Amino acid sequence: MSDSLMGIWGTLTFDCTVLDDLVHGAGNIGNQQAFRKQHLLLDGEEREVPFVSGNSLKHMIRWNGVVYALMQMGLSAGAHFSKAAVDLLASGGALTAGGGTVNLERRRRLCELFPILSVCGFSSGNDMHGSLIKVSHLHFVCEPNLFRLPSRYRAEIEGQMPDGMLLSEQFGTRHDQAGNPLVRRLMAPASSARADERKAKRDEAKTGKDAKGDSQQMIYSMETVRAGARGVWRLHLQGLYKPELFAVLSALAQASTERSEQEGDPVLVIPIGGKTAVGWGRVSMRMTSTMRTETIPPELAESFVALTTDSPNLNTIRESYQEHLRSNRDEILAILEEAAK
Amino acid sequence: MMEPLRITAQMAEPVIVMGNALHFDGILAYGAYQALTRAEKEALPPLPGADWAEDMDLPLERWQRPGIALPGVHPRLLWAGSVWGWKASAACARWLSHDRHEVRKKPAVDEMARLSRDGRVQIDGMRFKASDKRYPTLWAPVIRWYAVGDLPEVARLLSYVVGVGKLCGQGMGHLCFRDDGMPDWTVEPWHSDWSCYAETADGRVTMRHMAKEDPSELDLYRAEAIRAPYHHACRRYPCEPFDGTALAKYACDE
Repeated sequence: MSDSLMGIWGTLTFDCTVLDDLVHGAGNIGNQQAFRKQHLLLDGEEREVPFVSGNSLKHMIRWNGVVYALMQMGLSAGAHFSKAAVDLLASGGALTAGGGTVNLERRRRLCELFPILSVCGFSSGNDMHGSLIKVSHLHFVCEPNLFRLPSRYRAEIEGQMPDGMLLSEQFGTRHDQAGNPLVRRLMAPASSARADERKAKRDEAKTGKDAKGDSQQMIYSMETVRAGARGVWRLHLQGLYKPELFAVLSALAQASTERSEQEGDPVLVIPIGGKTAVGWGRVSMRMTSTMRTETIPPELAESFVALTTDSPNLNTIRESYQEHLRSNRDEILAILEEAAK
Repeated sequence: MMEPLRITAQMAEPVIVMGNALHFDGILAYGAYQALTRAEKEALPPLPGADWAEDMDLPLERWQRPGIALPGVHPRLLWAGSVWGWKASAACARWLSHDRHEVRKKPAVDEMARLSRDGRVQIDGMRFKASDKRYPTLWAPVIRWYAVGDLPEVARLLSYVVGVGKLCGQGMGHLCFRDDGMPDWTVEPWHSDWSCYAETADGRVTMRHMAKEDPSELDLYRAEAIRAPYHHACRRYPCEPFDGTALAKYACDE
């Protein structure tokens, strides 16, 4: 069954719950990394409301979609691309040429062969392809945000909370290993002597309270959104063909660390924001969809609400997406290099 | 049926407005483009680098004025000795706060190290330059426009528009969403045509960029785009004085 002429239109809405405090840095205030905030004037009051930027979430989709596709193509670890091609894959490339004639044939072929690029948009030569998804910011449920959240949150306890209750503070530590006796054994004598010299200078400079001892521990602190906070994130699909829809879904699946189901809706746990490598930022996202039914291909119509669960029709299309990537591997690698020049 | 309209957007996010006063026909032209099939979109000449931008067929009335050829004015902007535009106002909004939105462009150095065969990458200049771009933003909970057009068709095209201004793909300028999943646009009949000029008790107010009648070369310093796409140089023509801030009072209910 072919795609509708307009492609698939609709909105995926993710009801989010923060599982581990979320870090999303926006510069430092004193020694603390501040959480990113939006300044709004609501009912005559200025409010600073924390949010996660759509830009960071869109990058999460782009890169995970690319990683999934490269894995399906069976690429082994190693050097396969030029740095310009990696830039095209990781951040959408750059305009690198002038001229009034755009190579439409190449653009069509690139979108067809490697759909995640047309989903997230790219620049190549003198051609700029717009994104087929519009990614919203992730807003948290609190009283100042009620005007832009689904109306059901007005009746919920989080909907009465001021924005300040969302925020918390966490800290991490790192150690100066030069003072560690085990590390000292591994250091060359010259390095060890330099470390002693630096320590002696530090001790000399310390007075009063600081002179009591020499800690090898350094603390950094950051403003976070608390675990337990709830939020809403939307992903607007604007005319995607079936392989492009699967590129989006594969990106979400690739980004997730856990997948489950709640009352028929898929639930993904996706690490977002900063410091996810050290445990922060796990967010549970329950996905519901509101689609423009006239744009949904008939074979997807019944199963659309359960996009990431096992549905025979969706599995067929997923398998054809994977097969497409595997069988066109060489052509994909070649056109990526050509487009990135 | 063409009739005077008032269009209201309930906003969820601040808007990045870059100098074009956010005219309604620009927003509707985006909706009309989105409503095309993929084949129709691909058949349109691409805008980047193009000398001329094709007009979308919008369900709006047009205004027309005598036009003259001037240096810097695109010859195709003059049509049978006149210039024209859509009857659609600029944004009427009480901008409550001015802020900035930062977008970081991080070079894909980690990814390049793993996947590329190149030895070095320059990140302090050229195409892989790391940058932190700042965009000015404006916040208003409600934005209104006035137009003369076909109400059902205008509403249909707007249903494809989830946001206005720049960086919509990253969440800026988004509208609120109703519980049925559609963006919160309201299109309603209006008692008067306020698309180009509003005649009120305070006098006559210019509601959009209007081509100046009988301009001279001296007026070229006041050239503005007169219809969508507003970012394209081929739409520039000498215009009457226009003060977007004077439109704030038309954002109110009455």
